[in-house]
Amino acid sequence: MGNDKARSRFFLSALLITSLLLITLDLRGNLPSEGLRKVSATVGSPFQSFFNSIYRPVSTFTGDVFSLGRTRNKISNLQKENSALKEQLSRKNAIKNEVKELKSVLDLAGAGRYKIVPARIIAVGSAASFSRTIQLDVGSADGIKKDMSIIAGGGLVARILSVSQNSCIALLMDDETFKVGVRLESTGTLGVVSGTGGSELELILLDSTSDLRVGQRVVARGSSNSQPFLPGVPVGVITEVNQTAGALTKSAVVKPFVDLNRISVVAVIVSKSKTDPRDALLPPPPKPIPTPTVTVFVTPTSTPSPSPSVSDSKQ
Amino acid sequence: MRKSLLFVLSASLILTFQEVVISRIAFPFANPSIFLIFIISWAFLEEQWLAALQGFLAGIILDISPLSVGVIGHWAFVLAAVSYGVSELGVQLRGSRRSPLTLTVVVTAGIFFTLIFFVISGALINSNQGYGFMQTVPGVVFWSLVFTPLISPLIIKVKRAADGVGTSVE
Repeated sequence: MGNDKARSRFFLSALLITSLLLITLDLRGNLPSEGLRKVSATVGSPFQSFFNSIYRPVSTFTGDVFSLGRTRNKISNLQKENSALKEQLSRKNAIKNEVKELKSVLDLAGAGRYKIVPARIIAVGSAASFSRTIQLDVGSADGIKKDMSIIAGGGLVARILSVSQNSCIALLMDDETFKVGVRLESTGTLGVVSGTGGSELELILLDSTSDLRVGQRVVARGSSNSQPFLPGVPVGVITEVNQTAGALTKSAVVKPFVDLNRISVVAVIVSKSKTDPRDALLPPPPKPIPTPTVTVFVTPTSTPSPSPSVSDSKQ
Repeated sequence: MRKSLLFVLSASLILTFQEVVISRIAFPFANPSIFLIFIISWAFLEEQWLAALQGFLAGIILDISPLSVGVIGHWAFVLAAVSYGVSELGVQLRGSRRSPLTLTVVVTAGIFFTLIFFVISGALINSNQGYGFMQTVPGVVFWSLVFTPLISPLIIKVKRAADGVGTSVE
């Protein structure tokens, strides 16, 4: 027993000394450690391939299992980040659209030399009330008065119905009770445009003999003292003419220049220009689409003369 | 002799399994060392001089492993010493050396001392496997507590089979 223990200790000492010798040799660079590792890699590679082929199919599963908690946290963090970014992006897009709308309304006001107060639509009348009204974030404190015109980038939008200190209510152009005196572009024919409750307006000409064509554009005629409507503000374009034989008036369907369901920034005209802009505020007329024409050249050929029949020759 | 050969073969396979499978799974804290669990468990069940020899051979396998970057002989030195110590303890606890609880406690303690000894000896021989290696110690020890009861029955069976081979030859 004692001999065994002594032998074991001697053996251990020998192994430790061997290890230290190996360490010393390796530290001094006298041991081909790289070569040895290369040999072990060569010997071990078939076993590695074997384990790898077994492990590969389950590696994704085990990876998912062990990183379940971390993945969940990561997903939750990414979702939060994603929603924050989406919110930021939608806010940016909204601001971008508002800037675009504001720019176009400023362009129109600048062209007409109107003094305007920009406003943001803060509420839209509910469909249940059967009236097409909007609430703006400007009021009497901003110089807004009843019956002032509201314009957007394309032209007329509404007129003010009532004003409070910091907000006002306006009647949209497509409301059935809305009426505006208009003038046809270039011809100057007078008429009245009224809302229909839908996306299009109705134009009734006072003179039934006047010429009315699709594509003609309509501007506000202007009210007395320019309230509620200023002259020259674009209203819309004729899309359909109703021909009724024997009628006292002529009517047409007008599509407004402004999409009334997609506006968020408008401007209230608080003072008019000294001159009537006439048709200057109308957007440039659309270029006519060229109609393709086809020319066919036909070369005349000599007409064959009828040959005398056999019976004729016999006679 | 054949017993040691079987041990070397098993150790090599377990090291390959460790490198190819276990090390690629992202365990929390640190990866368990199935290889060390096997070596220490085996040493606990082995005679002292054979444990020292097998520890030395296992260390050499680890030292010349392609993924190893340390000094050759370092792991051989550490594992020979620790295996001898663990085997000495196993001889003292001969009656309960195959009990899963004893085996788990001894193997976990053995792994802890192995890692500490490796870091200290590494510092003495100017090896640069120090602080980073030290950080993994708690994780490795924790996983050895978890894995030893699971794999020790298999190690005991292999050891018994190897003992049968050994006794028939030696």
